[in-house]
Amino acid sequence: MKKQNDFMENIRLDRNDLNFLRDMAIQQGIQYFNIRCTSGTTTLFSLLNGISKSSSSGIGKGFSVQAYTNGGWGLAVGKEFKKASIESVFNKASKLAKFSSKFSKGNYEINPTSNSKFYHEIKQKIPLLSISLDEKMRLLLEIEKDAHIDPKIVSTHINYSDGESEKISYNIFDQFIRRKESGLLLNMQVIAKQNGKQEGYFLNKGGLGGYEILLKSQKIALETAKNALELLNAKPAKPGKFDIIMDPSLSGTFVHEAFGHAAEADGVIAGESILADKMNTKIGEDIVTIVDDGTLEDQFGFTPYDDEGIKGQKNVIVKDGILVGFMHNLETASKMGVKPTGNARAMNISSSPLVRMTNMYLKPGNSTLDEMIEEVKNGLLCVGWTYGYCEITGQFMFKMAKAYLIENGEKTQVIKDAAISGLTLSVLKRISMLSKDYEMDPGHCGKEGQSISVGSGGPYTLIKDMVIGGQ
Amino acid sequence: MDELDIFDPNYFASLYKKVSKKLDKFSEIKHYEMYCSSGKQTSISYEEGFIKKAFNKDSSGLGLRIIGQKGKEGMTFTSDYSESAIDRIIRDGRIIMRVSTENPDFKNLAVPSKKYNSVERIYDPEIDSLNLEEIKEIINPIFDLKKREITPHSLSGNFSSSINNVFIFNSNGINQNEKKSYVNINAEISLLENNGFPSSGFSWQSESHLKDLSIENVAEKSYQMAYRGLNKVSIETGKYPILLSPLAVAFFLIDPISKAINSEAVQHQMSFLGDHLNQEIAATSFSLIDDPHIPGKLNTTSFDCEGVATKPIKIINKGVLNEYYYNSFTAGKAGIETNGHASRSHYASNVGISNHNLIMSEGKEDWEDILAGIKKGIYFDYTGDSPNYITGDFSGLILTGCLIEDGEITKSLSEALIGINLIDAFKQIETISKERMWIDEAYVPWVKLNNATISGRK
Repeated sequence: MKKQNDFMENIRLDRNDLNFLRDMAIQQGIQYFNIRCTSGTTTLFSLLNGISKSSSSGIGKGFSVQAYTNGGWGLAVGKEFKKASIESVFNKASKLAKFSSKFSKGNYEINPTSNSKFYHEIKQKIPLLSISLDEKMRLLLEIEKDAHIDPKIVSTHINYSDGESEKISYNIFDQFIRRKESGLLLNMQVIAKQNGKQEGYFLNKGGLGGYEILLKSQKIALETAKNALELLNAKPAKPGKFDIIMDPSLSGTFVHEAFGHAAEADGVIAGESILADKMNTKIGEDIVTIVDDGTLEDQFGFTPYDDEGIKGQKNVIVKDGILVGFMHNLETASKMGVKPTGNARAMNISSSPLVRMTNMYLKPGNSTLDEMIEEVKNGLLCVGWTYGYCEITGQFMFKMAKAYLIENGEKTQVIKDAAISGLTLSVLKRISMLSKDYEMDPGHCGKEGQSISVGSGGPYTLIKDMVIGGQ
Repeated sequence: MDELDIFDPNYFASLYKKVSKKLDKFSEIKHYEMYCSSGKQTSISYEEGFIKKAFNKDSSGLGLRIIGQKGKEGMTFTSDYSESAIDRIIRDGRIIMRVSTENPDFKNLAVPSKKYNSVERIYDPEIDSLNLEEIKEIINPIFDLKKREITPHSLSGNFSSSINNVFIFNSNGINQNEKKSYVNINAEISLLENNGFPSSGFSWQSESHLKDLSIENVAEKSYQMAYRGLNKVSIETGKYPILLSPLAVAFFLIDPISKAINSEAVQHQMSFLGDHLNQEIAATSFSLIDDPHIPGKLNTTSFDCEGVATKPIKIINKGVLNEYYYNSFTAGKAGIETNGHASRSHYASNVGISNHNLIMSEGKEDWEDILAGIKKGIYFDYTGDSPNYITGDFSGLILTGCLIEDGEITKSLSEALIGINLIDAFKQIETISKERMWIDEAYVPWVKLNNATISGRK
């Protein structure tokens, strides 16, 4: 049969097809520009109780030009990869930038990047294209069946998506990058019901690469179903303060939401970060080291080159409790007089690259989970994340999917999902133990209306005195 | 394509003729639907109290649903209207349709309604013709915040204007199109306490008509929220009477109801309101109407995203849950007619279900009189959190809220969380104010809950 994306249009543009834009930039007084082109395909299957709710596929292509002059930025979007269309969109972006510059705070120079030409392709052990849609559907239906381990399981919902894309970017410094990306995401929700009480559980698997990711994720249904059944015996959390142990996925949510966003340099410059005046100062316990690493190939936030053409790198943000770095794009690095860190990422070509995390994690420690549980007299072992956020004051909230009560060093009753809140700078000083075990999770992060794929993780983390939103 | 007028109904009518002619050649295709949307957007973002970026985009695309024997369905989309692109999405749609499972619950695509209510003030030509210089003039009051008593430490936000035109056709004869305009402003501000600790405030407004937008109001609300948030305090864990602001009513009470009455979630036992039809779920003072025909409101529309005529419905009447939201598929499964709540966020999206404009009942008391009657309680202004839609349990942060002491709003709260099951919250409604205000598409009052559990650090 035909493969799903054999019509994906390759982007035939090369560096020589785009360097006329550098002349246009000089003529129009544009100090910096980049053009980003993309062509890609996606496939989605959604199954409710093993029956297709929706199945779709589509292709998308387009490009955008971002221009900068005298403190003002402009972004315009086009569709056809033809010279006339690119010229026209460049002119629009140039006009928009000039308009912004009239009312901007002031000029700053964008520091040059290298003028190299790069190519990068995400490795697919089993290419998505080599597997027929029939085979993908067959496997999803098999996975769904695994959820029905008990008559109390009353409903299932699977969402599967995969996609491939080709991206090129070119900028005023004559830097040309071509990337081929591919990835897969699978999530599942299972509902269990007993005596009029219903509970649900949700799990998410995925990554960058090929079909091997789905093959590795086949136990998702069983895992989700077991959790849903367990929650039928769960009690609501009690309200108040508890010592909590966060599992690796929650530790990842914590460092991402409560800390990571405050270390993005655009927020620092805009006066919207609690870390603005904390560089080289002690902000956490000695055991706290936080890293953002775009080079982790098997993680969802892998960024070999960012959307401004900067090579992804490992950036240590907090070392032994001391704030040592921020994450940057070209603009913030230029404004702060430092090197860009490979963190300029955009949701799509219609969005400007913002300073975004890639794979952020809290470095593991030396303890075992059992040792940590023994330390807790009255607390919670919190498991799984649902979502979280942090406001610019450093007050954060994230939600656990479930928890276990810890009473006098022993794990006891299962507890329902609940919210955890704190103040970032205070909480970093209450982290008392970290486990040796460490895991990363795939996820999506939202900022200024843009959602991008990220990885986040860490060890089991013991924090004293956290406020839990119980009933 | 570059010369194409993406808002021309005649173009899309002829495109549909071309597509349907191609589809009719395939005997395995029993039903089809073409949903097209075209839009243009201009936005300006500001940061540090100055304009930083301007953005412009025109876009257009189509989503094609094709349905074969026994409800097997495939959907494809493209932004390319060339002959080869159309052939490609038809080919891919047939492949996807064949791969899908049979769906015995599929009855039919939407059929044309007998009558479509005309709706007023959904398109504002003034928004359509806005240029960048005019937008700068419009948003100037935001920048006046820099002159306030306490100078903002940060001031950022975005203004956007957009025009969107949808065109819907299907093999049952649906042929509808509607052009709408939107304008939105949002502002986020922070002020610093003497000790350097920040307090943030935000506000936004979205309208269909430019003259309904009040930039001054958005600026003032964001400043006041940040000002009230200075010198936050922790509170003791316990049960408190709660006064919900209209913002909190919209996000804590009304939005969860609108999502929980989605018939798809109900049919798959994924909604906490699933077993509660025709049952009392709230205080008798609580009624809620979905009205798609109010002139000039955000979700005003004469038809839903399958082209079915919309109509006002009573969702909750005196505390009793009366109706769920349906699209043509879930209505077919339930053996009833759809009530016109099919939704789509984009031409590439699958059909979902959502609300139109939501009107909550009013009470008899001034909200300030309700406040005056609370000796010690919580003024709950906003949460960014959602409930667990399966159980109805809500555990979330009071992102902006204050203590109420002796009938007055006093100190702002830090690390205060609310935990309650939403059905309990609906039944805890004690008093509703007579004043109401629009928060996006919801018209909502102040509401006092008898009590709820608040977790605090003290």
